[in-house]
Formats: sequence, structure tokens, C-alpha cells
Amino acid sequence: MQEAEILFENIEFLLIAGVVIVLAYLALEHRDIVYAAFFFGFMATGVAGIFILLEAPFVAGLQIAIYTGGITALIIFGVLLIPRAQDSTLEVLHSPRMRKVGLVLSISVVVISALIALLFPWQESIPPEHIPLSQSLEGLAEWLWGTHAVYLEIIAMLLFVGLVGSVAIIRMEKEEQLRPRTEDFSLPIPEESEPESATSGMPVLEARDVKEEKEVE
Amino acid sequence: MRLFIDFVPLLLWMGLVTALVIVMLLASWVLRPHVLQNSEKTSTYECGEEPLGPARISFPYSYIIYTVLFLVVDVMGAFMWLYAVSALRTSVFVVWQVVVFAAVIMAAVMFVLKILPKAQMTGPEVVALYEAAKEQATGLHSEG
Repeated sequence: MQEAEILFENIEFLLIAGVVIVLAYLALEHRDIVYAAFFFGFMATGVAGIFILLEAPFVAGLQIAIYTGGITALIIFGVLLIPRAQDSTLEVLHSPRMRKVGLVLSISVVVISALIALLFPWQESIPPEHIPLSQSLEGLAEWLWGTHAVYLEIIAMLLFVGLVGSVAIIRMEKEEQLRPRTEDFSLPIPEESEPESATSGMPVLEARDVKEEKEVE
Repeated sequence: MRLFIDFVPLLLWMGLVTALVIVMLLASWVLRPHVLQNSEKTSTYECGEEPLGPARISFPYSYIIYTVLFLVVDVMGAFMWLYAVSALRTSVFVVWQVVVFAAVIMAAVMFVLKILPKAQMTGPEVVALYEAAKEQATGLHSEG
């Protein structure tokens, strides 16, 4: 019975991991960025399956509520609202050599982390008396709200800063539209003779906006 | 007592949903008339008008702040749900912690909702910008 259960668990993990990897690949490589955003949402749901497999139902619910619901909506809104984002794909490595280097780097990161997990089995270092905590929401609430609520206050402050920062960026954009700065912002490089005006600097600003707002999560 | 076992009905249901989608697509493919597809047929329907440009246009992106607000309230709701279903909801100390947690986030939300009308471009401002740009353009044109 025990062996069958372990085998069943392994099969479940391989299935979920395969689905997540395929969806992550589609989210990265799909040509239409709107489709890529939707694949990201499905991938986040698949990751919730891994949390269920780890017997952490609260984290799985959080994953679906925040990643599938919130972050995906944020990305889709970003794609729909930001000019020219729909025509662009994610970053394309033009030379095949760069592509190969990136592939080798990512594969080596995966292999090294798998080797470390095999050599230093962290799951054996967790004392078994902590395991009931993962399944019981009561215990989790006791731990989080009862004794470690300062973490939640830090999260609240982080969300506060994120909201204020995102509204400040929008305010800055308005200022820039009302009073465009037309000074010469170009760095003193002799090759680049063309001075960068305020309008040609727009795409850089927009890219930074998206990054800032994604960090709010 | 494995949690994953409880989710097997959900997996079955997801399989049923996928099968239903495939069956519906296949059925509509079988039932629909297969006529010649041309650019006139596959173009976007805009109430009989000739479609102008792509259907996906970009809106002013200051609206993305509403999604950020949704995300923040989502996170707050998740943690407050954890508190609400536990036995801690009767403990005075924890209630005060929840009040501080909610007050910090709601202060941010209120600040954003207060400052947002001032942060977005209003109609008269857009019109004034347009008038100024037009004046500049016509001035340049008459000079040239």
C-alpha cells in the first residue's frame, strides 16, 4: 500500500511538472503576447497543483487567487493598455549563438540545482513533528496571525509602498505630458550624435512602468 | 489522508470539461457549411462597416492602477480569510493586529483613489495640449 502510494505520488508529480513545463514554454515562446499571458495563467494554476501535492492547501488557494486571478489580469491589462505591447513578442535573441548560450546556461542551472537537491536532501532535515501543520489551516492561522503577525504587517507596508509608487509613476507621466522636458538627455558619447528627445525616451519609461507595477505583487 | 486524493473528482471534472470543449469544436466543424474562406469573410465584423485598422487598440495605461488595486485587495482578502476561519477571531490581540493590517492597506487604497483623478489627464487638459500642438504645427507650416 505504502509503495503504491509513493508510486502514485511520483506519477502525479511527473504529470503536473510536465504540464507546467509545457505551459511555461508556450508562455515564453508563443508569438501572440495575449496568448502568452493566458498560458502564463494556466501555468500558475498548474503550480497550484504542485502545492496540493505538497499538502499545502492554503498556498494552493493563494496561488490560484493571486497568480491566476491577479497577476495574469495585471499582465493582460498591461498588454492591452500599453502602446505597442501587443505587436511585440517577448525578448528575441537574434543570433543563434546567444540562443545556445542561454539554453546551456538554463540547463546548467536546472542540473546544478537538481544535483544539490540530491546531494543535500533537505526534506530529511525537517523534523516530522512539523508536518501536521501543513494540512491544518488552524495551525497555520495560529502560527501566522498568532505569533508571527509582524510578517503580515510588513506585507501590508509593502503593498502600501507599491500602490503609492504606481500612482506616483502615473502622476509623473501626466507631468511629463503637460510640461514635456525638451533638454538634451543624451550621454556624452561621441558616436551617438543624435540627441535623445523627450518623445523618443517614451518606450524606456513605459517598460520601467510595467516592471514597477509587476513588483507590487 | 492525502490531500491530493480529495482533488481527484476535480481532476475528473477538468477532464470532462476538456472533453466537452473538444466535442463541441468537433461538432461545430462537422455541422457548419464549409464554404470558401476569403479575407472578406474572416475580417472583423463592425456592424457592416469597413473595419479600420486592428481591433486591438491601446487605452490610456493609467487604468492599470485598477488592476493593481484589485491585486492588493486580493492579497488582503486571502490573509484575512485565513484569520476569519480560525479560532483566533475571538482573541483581542489578534483582532488589533488585523485592524492594523487592514488599516495600512485601506489607507493606501484611499490615498490612491483620492489622488487618481488628479493623476490622470482630464478632458480640458487634453484639449489644451491638442490646441497648443495644433498652433505650433500651423505656425511651423506657415513659416515653411
